[in-house]
Amino acid sequence: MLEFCSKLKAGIDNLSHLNGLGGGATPREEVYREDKLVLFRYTAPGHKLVNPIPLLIVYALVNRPDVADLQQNRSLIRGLLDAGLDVYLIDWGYPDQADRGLTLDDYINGYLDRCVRTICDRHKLAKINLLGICQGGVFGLCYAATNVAKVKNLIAMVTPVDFHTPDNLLNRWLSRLDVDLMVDAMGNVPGEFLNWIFLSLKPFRLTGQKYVDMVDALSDVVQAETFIRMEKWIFDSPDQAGEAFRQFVKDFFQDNGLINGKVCIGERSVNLRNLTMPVLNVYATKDHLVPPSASQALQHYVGSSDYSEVAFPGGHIGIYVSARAQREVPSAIASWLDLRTK
Amino acid sequence: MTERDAADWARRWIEAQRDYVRIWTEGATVNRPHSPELDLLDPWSQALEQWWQAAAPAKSDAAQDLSAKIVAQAKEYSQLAAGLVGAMDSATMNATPDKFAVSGVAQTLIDIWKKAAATTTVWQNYDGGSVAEIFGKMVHEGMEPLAIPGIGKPLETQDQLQKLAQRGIKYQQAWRDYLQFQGELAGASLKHMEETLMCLVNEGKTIDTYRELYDLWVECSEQVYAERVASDRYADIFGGLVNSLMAYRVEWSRTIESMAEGMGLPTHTEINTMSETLQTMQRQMTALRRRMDRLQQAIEAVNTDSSVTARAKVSKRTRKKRPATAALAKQKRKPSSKT
Repeated sequence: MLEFCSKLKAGIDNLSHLNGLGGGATPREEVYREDKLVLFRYTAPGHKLVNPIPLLIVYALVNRPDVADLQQNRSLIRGLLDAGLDVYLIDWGYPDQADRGLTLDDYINGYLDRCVRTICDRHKLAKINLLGICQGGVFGLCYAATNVAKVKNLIAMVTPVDFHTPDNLLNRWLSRLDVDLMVDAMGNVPGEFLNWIFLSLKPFRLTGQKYVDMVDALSDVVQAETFIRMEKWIFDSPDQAGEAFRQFVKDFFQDNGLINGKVCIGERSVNLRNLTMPVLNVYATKDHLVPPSASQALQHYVGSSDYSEVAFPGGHIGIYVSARAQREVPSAIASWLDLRTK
Repeated sequence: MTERDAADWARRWIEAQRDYVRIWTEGATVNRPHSPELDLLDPWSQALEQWWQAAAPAKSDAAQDLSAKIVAQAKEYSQLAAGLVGAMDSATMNATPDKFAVSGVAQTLIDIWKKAAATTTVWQNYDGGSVAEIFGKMVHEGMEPLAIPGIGKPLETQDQLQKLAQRGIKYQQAWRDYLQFQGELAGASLKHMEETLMCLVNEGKTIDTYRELYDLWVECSEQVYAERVASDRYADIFGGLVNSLMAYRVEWSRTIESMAEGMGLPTHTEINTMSETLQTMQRQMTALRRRMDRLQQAIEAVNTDSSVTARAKVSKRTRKKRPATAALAKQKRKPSSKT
């Protein structure tokens, strides 16, 4: 108890002197903006470009993409830059009620497509590399399946493909949800609701034990900064545009449309067999949000003869921010891409 | 601060609370005859009992019955809290430095937690189920008049308010089901923890710190939780809770909108309509812009082809013309033989 109280006191002292906790450690420039979307290109001092094909990172609408560049020593983006890649990232922004009518067609065939075109025009290329993370990976799969000519290599990271695996808690909870009623009632779905759902997956750990463990971390300034940055990211949840949320829950979670071939983005039907470009599937073996089985299902549906997997021993968040992830994930992605770049 | 200091602090805090309640109680009961039964209760329970005896005669029978259960539950909690502090105090005083036996303090804590968990299921099983029956009766009796259709000029308003009340009651039912589930979960978690502790005891292991006990509780709770929330029953409860809340919210929005309309204020429906129109126009503009870009590219391609073809034609004509011109030039240079 005495030791605990001592650590707590040291932690409070450290917390009261923290500063510079803003997101983003790697310099970047804005290259395209549309409505609330911003397309960034990342640069780093001494960055040496090895792979000439740009890599576009498509993050999920849920949560902010800052986790991919949390801090100097925990940055997937920095790792990719150090491996010689040219990295772009889409920041979807914070939807407000005026955006409630945005559909998946607007996001994928609209915003995402125009970002791809922008990069292609800048580099005078016909195709780029695409890396989708979580829900962004689903977007990447849908986009690549309907725009084969624009994607050279496709990477899906902790991406759910089969939403009806037995260990998918989220799907079980959403199966009885009347999402039409929800969207009609609220318009945009609040980020707080999604936070509550995610915390409910492991409530005792995430709302209690984590903060008891926190006392051990706070006594060290560096660990305290990392913890607080993670906390800020976890609870920085944008609202979800109503129509996009409606379609995503109904078509993907409830109907498992990606597997059943029933997903239509606008007028385009999504068939994973059209994914004939090289595909890399990166998943986390201890992922409680996107179970490994949900990601691994991709191998049975792609039409590509060049399909690879990387199994990372960690969780859904650890795959971006853990120390082991910094050593393993960017280099695995970069070397896979380099082999497929002529 | 040593552990003795922490226990001493806790004891002084409790004594200060007792003095506070005693002073208020003495002030409130200065003219009241002394009751021996009251002395058996802890100070918080005494305060609740005092209030209840003063307030109860003013309530109807049905309300008294229900309120009595609520007061009894509150007294249970306060006695549990007093018991918990006492148990911790006793464990700390009697423990060897940095250690206490699993079967001793942990069992006391588990017993107290189990009683607390049992009281959270008061809506279901506490004291013979009468609270659940009362609530169910209230819901049924409340829903009946709400089902009567409106008549006359205020028909629409009446229907709207009835629907709002019905949705509210449905939401309360769903919330009750959710809380009941949580209560059962708490009980099951503690049972699992008890079994795990017994296994540890049988294996000759001990839990040496409060932290280890807490971590074990988290682990046991997560295991039971993961199993139960994966069930169809929980999916129904969760879906029912969210759906009923959303339905309630929809009715509230309609009620507020009708009031706003009456006051000439903009409503969400109007703003949503405008937003949808804007969105549609934006999509059309984007599609048109893309068409224009394609047309522009096609025109440029045609122009490029045309200019290439035209240059080719000019070049051909020029090659044909040159020999005649050259011949003419040559002819001009020759002096005339006629002069």
